Amino acid sequence: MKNSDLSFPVGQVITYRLLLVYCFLIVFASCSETPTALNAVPDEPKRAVDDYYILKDQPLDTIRHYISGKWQLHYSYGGITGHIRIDHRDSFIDFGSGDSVLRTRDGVLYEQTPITWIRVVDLLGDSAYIIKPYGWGVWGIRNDTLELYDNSPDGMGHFLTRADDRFYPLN
Amino acid sequence: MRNSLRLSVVIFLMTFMTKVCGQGNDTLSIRFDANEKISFARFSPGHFGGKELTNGSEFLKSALEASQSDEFRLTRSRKDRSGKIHNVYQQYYKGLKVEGAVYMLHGRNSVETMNGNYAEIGSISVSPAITAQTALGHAIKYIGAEKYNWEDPSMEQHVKRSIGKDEATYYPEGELVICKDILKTGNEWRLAWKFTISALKPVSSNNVFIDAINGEVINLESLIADANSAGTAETKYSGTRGITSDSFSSMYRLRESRNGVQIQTLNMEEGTNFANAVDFVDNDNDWTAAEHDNADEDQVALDAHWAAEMVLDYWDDVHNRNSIDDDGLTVKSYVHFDQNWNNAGWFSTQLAMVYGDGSTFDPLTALDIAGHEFGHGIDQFESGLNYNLESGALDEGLADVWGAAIEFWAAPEKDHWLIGEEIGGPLRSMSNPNLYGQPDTYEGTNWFNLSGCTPTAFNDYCGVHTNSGVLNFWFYLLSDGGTGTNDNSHTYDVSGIGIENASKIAYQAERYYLGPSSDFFDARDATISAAIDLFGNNNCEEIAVTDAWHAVGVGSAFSDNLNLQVSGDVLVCTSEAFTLTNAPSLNGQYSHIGWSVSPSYLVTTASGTGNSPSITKAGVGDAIITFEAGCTDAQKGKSFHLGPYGSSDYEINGPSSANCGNNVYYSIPTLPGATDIDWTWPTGWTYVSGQGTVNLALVAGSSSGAVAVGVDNTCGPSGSYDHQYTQIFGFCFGLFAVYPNPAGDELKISFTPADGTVNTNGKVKDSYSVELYDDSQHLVYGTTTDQQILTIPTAGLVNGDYVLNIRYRSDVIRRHIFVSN
Repeated sequence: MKNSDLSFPVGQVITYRLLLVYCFLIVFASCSETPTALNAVPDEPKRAVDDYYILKDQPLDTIRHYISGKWQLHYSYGGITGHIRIDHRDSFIDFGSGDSVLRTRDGVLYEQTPITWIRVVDLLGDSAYIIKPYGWGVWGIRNDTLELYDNSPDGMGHFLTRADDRFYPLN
Repeated sequence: MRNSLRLSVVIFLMTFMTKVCGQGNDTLSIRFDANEKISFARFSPGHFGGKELTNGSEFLKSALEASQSDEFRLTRSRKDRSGKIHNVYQQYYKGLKVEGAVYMLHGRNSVETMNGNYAEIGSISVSPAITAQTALGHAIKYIGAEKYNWEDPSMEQHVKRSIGKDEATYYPEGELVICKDILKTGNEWRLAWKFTISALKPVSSNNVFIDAINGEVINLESLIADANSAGTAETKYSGTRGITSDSFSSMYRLRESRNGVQIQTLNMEEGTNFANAVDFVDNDNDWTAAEHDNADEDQVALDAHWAAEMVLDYWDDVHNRNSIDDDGLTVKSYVHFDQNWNNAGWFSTQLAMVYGDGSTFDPLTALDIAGHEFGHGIDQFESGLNYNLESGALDEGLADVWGAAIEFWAAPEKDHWLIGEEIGGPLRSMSNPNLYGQPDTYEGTNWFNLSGCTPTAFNDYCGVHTNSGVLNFWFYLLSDGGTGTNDNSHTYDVSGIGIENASKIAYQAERYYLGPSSDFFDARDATISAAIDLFGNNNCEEIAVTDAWHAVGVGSAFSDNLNLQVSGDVLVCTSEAFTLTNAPSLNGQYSHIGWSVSPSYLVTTASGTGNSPSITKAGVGDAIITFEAGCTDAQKGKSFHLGPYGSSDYEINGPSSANCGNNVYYSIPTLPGATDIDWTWPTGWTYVSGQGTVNLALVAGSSSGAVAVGVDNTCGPSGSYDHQYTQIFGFCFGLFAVYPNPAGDELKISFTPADGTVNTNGKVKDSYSVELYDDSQHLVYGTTTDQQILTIPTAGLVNGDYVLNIRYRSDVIRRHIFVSN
């Protein structure tokens, strides 16, 4: 469509106004401390200390929003001794838009699974969303690190950093 | 060109078959089935000759002499850690799957091993005469359930959610297959419609095969294991054990129905999606290490399966509990979870035990680990302890309790107080928690400080695997007993009640008393209440539970408040019966009542047991009978005397020295059964009172000497007298006694009037005069007095001889006195 600079039909006026509103919103969002999200963020997670944001007790939309996309799994910690550390090499988890899991290891896709979120009383006695079938809970984000936890006695915590170009500033 | 290629293939196949069937140079071993088809063969590695794995389908076709209608489709390919490839092929006939006809090829580049089942179909039609819908009607009629899964909306919702597809349903969809008519001739291959039919009432899940030509039901496969088959398994950690597996399609898998509970041990193949788990299978139900101790370490699945059996049996046998939820929950064990997941866990979302592999530990499928994880599952359905802080430590401790109790029950030869000793650990020691960095005392050494701690997955939820050592040590002491001093410097002495009774108390507490937020002091209360529930008040178990908590720094030791009393005569002339009263009950509540006499040579035969023994005199002397009673062995003794008294049975208490004229007193203890007490004293002393009693009063005379006493009792006269020698200082003249001589700081003169009258103010009726001269006959002291006792100060006098004159009426008494300050 080619626009004319000499005429302003009603439809184009509305379009320009919408564009202005949109620009205003962008500027406003840039100046504020709310996340720059691809989609609207229902709630900002509370910040426990410094740059540690707890997602565990947040609404599902918020959790899904922040974990969506691709993450690199670096290591897991805990287990039956409480101190087992497992380092992962070249291991990635892509949560898509928060409704599936796609896992690759050494560059090879080895699991692609739709996930469901169930709200349960987790192992700490808190009401929390858990990812089925993996049994993961989303603890929070510390600086750039996403922390997942197995909702299981003798389970482990998992440390991941973002591996795509999505950016959801939290402060 | 094409003809040349065909010729080459034919020559190759002829050469290969000659080698295989004739066990040529590269064929190490070979076995055939009833149809003379290869069921197993092993070849030398590296001999290709057409055995390239990449050409597996064609290789199988030629090696098995399959028909032109047969094909082998690769359904799964895995590479183990050694680099070996394991390919699984499903046989198809004219494009239809042949049920149970699976063949496997193993090797790196060439085929090194082949094994499986080839179905020789012959020639049958693959065009069905009846539709799938008609066949389904036959199948549903055959099952005859009241309610099927697809008729229940919640089940339908569940399957859609589980699979993640809205179109997912339990409603059976027919699949044309080739299968054996197991329910007919058992040998013939037929074209069949296959349906998976799951029902809720009664519960069932089956694959039903309907002959696609005539509509007959020709085969039924239960998907809930009910074809239990006894087999053997060479486990990695527990030797060869009998196991039960499930027979299906001429093979066996690690599934079974055990006392109505399903057990499934499945292979995650290093994945994390539980829906993709597959069965471990074996050809002959003899699960040997040679077959399963492969590079993937599948042998450890045998440990997991046997352990699941033992854990299930233990809970049923010892605690009458029906599986994890006490309602028959299927016991699922997922082995080879994830890659390098060197751990074991109870996955509370999946309600399953999960085992991983790795390098730090061997695969964690040992019996005690399985018991531990199963224990977490039980806690989920019982107390639901929150997995953090002290409640989390209790959860971990209880899981170790079950690991130890089950190991002791199923494999008593193992060291049940160590956790994970077979997987490269130990991880923990329940008998000595300090050994692996755990505390054995509440807030003692190694205690994870909970003050200000925020539980996360990354600090072990505030040390739940650390502080669990307190409960572990409590359970150990409760079971085996022990003495010592804890980190609070409190001594403890716990009488063990055995691991089975200890575990019953732990279970009762976990089931009925503990809650999500319970701490160690709640656990103390809970287990004491549980002990009373199970064994009654003030029982040995309650005492042991309390004392064990005291030992680990939680609460005080048990106070039994026993007021033991012993009745019986304290003087035994021939024999006597003693009785312990206020003794605890002997009805099993307390451990025992015992008694002993010391010194034992004073008695001969002793009869009677428990709290009423009789003893017979064998000698003369003092003895004591001591009773031990109760589970804490509380003691109560009673002293008694055997035969007549002698000088060794008592001792005179009296002065070893006195001044002439003083009142002196002697006594002996009251002796039971005494009939007469006879005192004697030196000549010249004056008797005051006490003959025949235990207290004697005399006035000392001028001469030193011994006071003696003999005591007769009902057994006879005294055998000897006891003596007390008293040395006399000073001198007596008639009515006056002067002492001491030599004099120190003072010299006393005691006057006893002839009629003995002394006023209450210490004065006598008649006065007397006293003079003291030094050796130069100078008067240094002189007075006339009516004091009954006169004290002359001599501290200021020069040491030496002096002359004392006492004048009374017309008499004068003169004597030398020596002063020595």
